[in-house]
Amino acid sequence: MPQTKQPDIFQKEKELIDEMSRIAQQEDFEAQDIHGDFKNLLKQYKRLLRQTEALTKTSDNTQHKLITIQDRLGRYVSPQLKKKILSLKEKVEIQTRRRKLTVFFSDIKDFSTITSHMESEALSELLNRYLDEMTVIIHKWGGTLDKYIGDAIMVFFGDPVFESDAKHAMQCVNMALDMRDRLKELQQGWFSEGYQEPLHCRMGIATGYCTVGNFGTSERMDYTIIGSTVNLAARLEDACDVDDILISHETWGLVRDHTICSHPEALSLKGFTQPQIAYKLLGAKDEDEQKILHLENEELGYSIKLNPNRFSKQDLIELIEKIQL
Amino acid sequence: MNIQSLHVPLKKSTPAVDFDVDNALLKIEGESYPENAYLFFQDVLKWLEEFFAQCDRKITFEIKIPYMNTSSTKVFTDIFDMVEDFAGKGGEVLVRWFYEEDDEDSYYNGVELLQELEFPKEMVPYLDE
Repeated sequence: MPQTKQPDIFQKEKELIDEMSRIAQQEDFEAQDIHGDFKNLLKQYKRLLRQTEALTKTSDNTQHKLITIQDRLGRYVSPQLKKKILSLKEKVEIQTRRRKLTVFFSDIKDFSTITSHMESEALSELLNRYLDEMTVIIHKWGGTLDKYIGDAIMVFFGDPVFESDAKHAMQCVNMALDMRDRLKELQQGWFSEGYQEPLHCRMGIATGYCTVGNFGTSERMDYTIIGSTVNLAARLEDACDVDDILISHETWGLVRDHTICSHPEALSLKGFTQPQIAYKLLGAKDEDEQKILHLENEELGYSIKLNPNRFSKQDLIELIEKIQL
Repeated sequence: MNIQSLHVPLKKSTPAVDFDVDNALLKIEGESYPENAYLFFQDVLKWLEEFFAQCDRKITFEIKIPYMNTSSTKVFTDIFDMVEDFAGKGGEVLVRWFYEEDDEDSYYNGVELLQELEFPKEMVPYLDE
């Protein structure tokens, strides 16, 4: 490995040594009483400089290594968890707490069957590309990536950074919609590359209290979540039709003003004694749509939604005249 | 020589020290980041001082330290200065610095610590088991 010379931060010290060496070599220097002390001083100073130089450079190497390790760590865990791990304020110990989270599960419908004829190298490439693309979206929306389970992805919002229940739920549904759109785009690329079977995702989202923290032993910990909300998100994903996103009633309550959802469905899910109300997430409302006026009167028998940005007062008068006709 | 071999077992934050007087082979191996490096190494330094004063054979030093903290690095600069003094008085010595292949930092740490010292040295790559 080649060693290149860098600009020298010890230049002044080196110049002093050169000067002292020059004096020590002068002809009359040997005659002076202090020459022994001076030579010893010079030797010690040279040694000290060499040690300082070596220490500085090895310390720089160690810091460089630390930064590389931090960078690599960030590829295994979410940015929030990386920050938590690297913060010395947090104790690394088996400790959990209760917190309201929005939990997300997704998988690729029949992934094993679809990919059963593929070579393992091609399968790895396809799966890694899919997970890579989805992970970019998870980070974009601030999700904590809990784990990949084959082609399945588990994400939660609300820990280690807590903002508000509504914000976490909204971030999660936006992430899910982004993922679904991106998968459709990827689909086209994969088809043209020769993957004939399209991949279809299923996604489930639920909000509720979970136990979150470090589980395991003092030697091997896993930062994850457990609780019925986790099971509900997983079961909703399982109950989904292809390319659909099912959200729980509690999630719907937090996002309904900003999303377009189907009518509620009562689903019988494994592990739940009571039917669970869920909604298909159809899309997010854009800024204009959020200003829609909803005029409704059951007694008089009308229900009208109006977008004032697209529908003027004159348009409304004309409409009423048409209805009278 | 009127000196016994020195053996210190490997621990989580301190290296194994294996100084074999019969073969004049001195090995230090393992990560080194004790809370107080001088406390850990003081017996090693004292032993080396006595050993260098008595030794009249060729000494081989083998060092394999994947990670060392700054205090440990300072101790190693002191050890190498002792080796240099020994070599300067006509003692025969070879220092072999083991670094993990593809680990540039470990390689350059060895280079930085040894480059200006006037005694024979070798950089030896190894593969992590």
